[in-house]
Amino acid sequence: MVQLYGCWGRLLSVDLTTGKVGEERVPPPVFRAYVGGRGLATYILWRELGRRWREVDPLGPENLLIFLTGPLTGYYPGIKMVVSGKSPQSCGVVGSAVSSHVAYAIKAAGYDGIVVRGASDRPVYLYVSDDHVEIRDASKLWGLRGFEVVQALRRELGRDLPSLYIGPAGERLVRTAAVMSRWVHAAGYGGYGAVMGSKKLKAVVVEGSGPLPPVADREEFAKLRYEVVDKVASRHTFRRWGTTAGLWRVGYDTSSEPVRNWQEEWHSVEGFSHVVIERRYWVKNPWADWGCPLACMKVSRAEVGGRVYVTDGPDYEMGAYLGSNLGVFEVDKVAALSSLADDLGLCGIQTGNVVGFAVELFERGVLTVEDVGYELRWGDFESLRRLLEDVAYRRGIGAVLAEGTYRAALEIARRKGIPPEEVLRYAVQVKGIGVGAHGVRSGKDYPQPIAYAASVQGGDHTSVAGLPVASEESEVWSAFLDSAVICSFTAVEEATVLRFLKAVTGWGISREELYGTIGPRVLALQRVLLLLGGPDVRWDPRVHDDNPPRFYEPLPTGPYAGSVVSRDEVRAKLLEYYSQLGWDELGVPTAETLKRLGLYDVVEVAEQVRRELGGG
Amino acid sequence: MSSSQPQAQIWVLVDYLACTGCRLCEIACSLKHEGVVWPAASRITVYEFYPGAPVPHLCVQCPDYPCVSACPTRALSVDGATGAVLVDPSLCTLCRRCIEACPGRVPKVVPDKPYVLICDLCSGDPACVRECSRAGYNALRVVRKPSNTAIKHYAKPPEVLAEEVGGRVLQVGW
Amino acid sequence: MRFCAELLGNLGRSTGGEVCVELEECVEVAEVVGRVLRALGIPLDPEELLVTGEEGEPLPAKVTTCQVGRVRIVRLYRGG
Repeated sequence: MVQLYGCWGRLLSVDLTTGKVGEERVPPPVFRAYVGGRGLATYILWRELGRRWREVDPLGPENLLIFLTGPLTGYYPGIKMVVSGKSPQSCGVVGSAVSSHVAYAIKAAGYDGIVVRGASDRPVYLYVSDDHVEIRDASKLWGLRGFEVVQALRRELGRDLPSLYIGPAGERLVRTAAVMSRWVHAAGYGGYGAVMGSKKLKAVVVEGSGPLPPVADREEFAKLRYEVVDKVASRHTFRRWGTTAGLWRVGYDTSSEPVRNWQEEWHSVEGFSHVVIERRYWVKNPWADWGCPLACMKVSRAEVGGRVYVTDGPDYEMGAYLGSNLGVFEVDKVAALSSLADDLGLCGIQTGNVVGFAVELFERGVLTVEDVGYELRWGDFESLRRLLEDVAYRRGIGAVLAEGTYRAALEIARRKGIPPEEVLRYAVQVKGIGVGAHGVRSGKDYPQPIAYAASVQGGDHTSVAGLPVASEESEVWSAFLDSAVICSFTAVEEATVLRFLKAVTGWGISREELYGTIGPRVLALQRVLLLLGGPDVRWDPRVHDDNPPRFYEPLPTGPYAGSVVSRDEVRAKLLEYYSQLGWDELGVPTAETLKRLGLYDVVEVAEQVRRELGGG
Repeated sequence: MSSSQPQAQIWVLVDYLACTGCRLCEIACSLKHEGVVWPAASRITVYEFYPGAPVPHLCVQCPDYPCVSACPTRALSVDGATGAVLVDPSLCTLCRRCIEACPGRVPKVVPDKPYVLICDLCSGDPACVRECSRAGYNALRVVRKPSNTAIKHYAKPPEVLAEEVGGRVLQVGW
Repeated sequence: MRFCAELLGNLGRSTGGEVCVELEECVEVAEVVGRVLRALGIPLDPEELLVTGEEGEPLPAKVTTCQVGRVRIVRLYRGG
């Protein structure tokens, strides 16, 4: 009998249709093969929904909503957990990472995660206290905005417990809605806030009074823990500025920051920087999440229009997407929009992406005052604030934008009688997921030319594809971090992370196995599910394994003006990437590869996908 | 300051504004006392009722030691060297009178531990302080035990402290 | 002595992925890496890079070019 260390091998399963609560065992070999987190979620989704994948409506009761930790959760400094299911954005699987105390609490309660099935017919929240699990009435919580939910839960429960929750956006099945935690954290990529809303699940509250599972080698774990704490604690500038530094650095230095729906990627607005925000608006710095020796968060407090807004940072993505991407270069206004997104339970990236898209369409006369109800202008705080609310509450044009950039583009084209490509050319998204705020045109930031084109998570900037596959540049490394689950900002070199994993789990996973088997296994499975897609979208690699049209327009401004991605380079690198992963020239995992990875039951489905694409 | 030899009575001085809310102290404490990561069993607990206003909360060794007086089985005593409250596991009956008597409701009861948990100052070298210093946050510091009245100001339930710290950081009443 | 750095991903775009310098004396690796970045116009702080040995093994904090002649550099933070 193989002993499991670092994990329990036990999931809490909740069926909201029947109200039944139970437990599922996950055999140790499954953990060994998929690690946990994103990998394990993908395995569960394939096993349960794979046969009917195309027919499963992500917003229907058949979809699973999965909350998972990994073997390193609670041990490796820092905290992340993964939210997953069939994605309402890509119709594939996204391992959406979020920092939350629920991660350690669920392990302390005796589970590695929670799988939610079915849907409730009335608002509920899940309360887990060790072995005691209740599906409770959430009628008094339903409708509450983010900050209100946290307060209300504390009042109802009498104390401050770890929780994941949705805001009004998730309740209304907005595809750009996030699963929120601790006021300011969001599992945004994938759109799982909408899945949670479709199950009428307002919150998941967890308290665990027990210890975390035992580790395999106590001494080695203790030693490595200190080693990592020391390394991470020496990242002084990151501790001081967090990712907010990117507002200046990614824009001014590397010309890779979205400006006005990515029409540009460079700015020189000195006031739009971490330095100004720090001086004027940060009331708590540094601020950390659980178990973290880095402490990259900051509490920002800004007053705009007589109202006080509190947010974290804003961190780079929120600041860029709700700031420069919308033509807003005043840091107090960006902090306010970021706070608003937190409060509404919206992913700042996806929503900033679709709002920027809308403002450009308005600028070009495709959308009009009749469509929106008011003027949309770059940098106009009032109209942007109003539009964020309209998206969250699905009001007016907000109901269309709530579908996310890709689907909104198709709908707007349909309503206006315009060919879809004419509208999609302004949509900066890949496979239904808006591209994270790190462009590829200048080549000076980290995403390589195929970063988003080949990612199994579309525009997800935290899971970019890259060459060589056997390195931290590739999506294998991201998939591994999301499966372990550890925060990429507290990650250190591969060798140490793998030693840490061994100390906790006893697994001797070598670099070769990571890059040759485990990573490719998760990616192959995610890839097949992505290409199956359905019910409302189907991706064709020849068309959709590509950058958004905008990334083929030369950068108009900045020191790298004229830079663009080369189609030839993308094409060549895609083929090289597929080849290194053992996929064919269409990017479909080959039968040989699937068998080598132990995915025998995927072979037939992959063949079907290949045939449909007209491949050999 | 810290050693395992008999010394002056010590005290953990908390800097609320320096505390980042990371809970590494809870992890370190549970690893030291229980050998596993077990936040619920940590003798120091960080509460955070308001974002960015964490309140590390632990026994402050009240000058009058009300918990010791309240204990009906004499399971609680005072360590002469450090001034810490010590729990004799063989005498504790988990009656919880010490929790009621404590102005901060500090002593803890967790499953599978048949005695109440109270900070013992790690025999003079608190693990939480070491960890916080290691991480470079320096929100916990060992000092000589201050005056009686200074200590009593800290002997409060966490939500009371949170109102004060939270209001200061955010300047809003939520 | 010759000191070489393998630059992964976009870091290596302008140099074909490898950069070598000739040094007269022992210098801390971190210092050489900083100089190389600035010479290449790569706008990153040393903190944002992971510098390891050739096989990806961790290096001691103050390692010098006399102790290791070849390193591997990859961007540490991807996303934010």
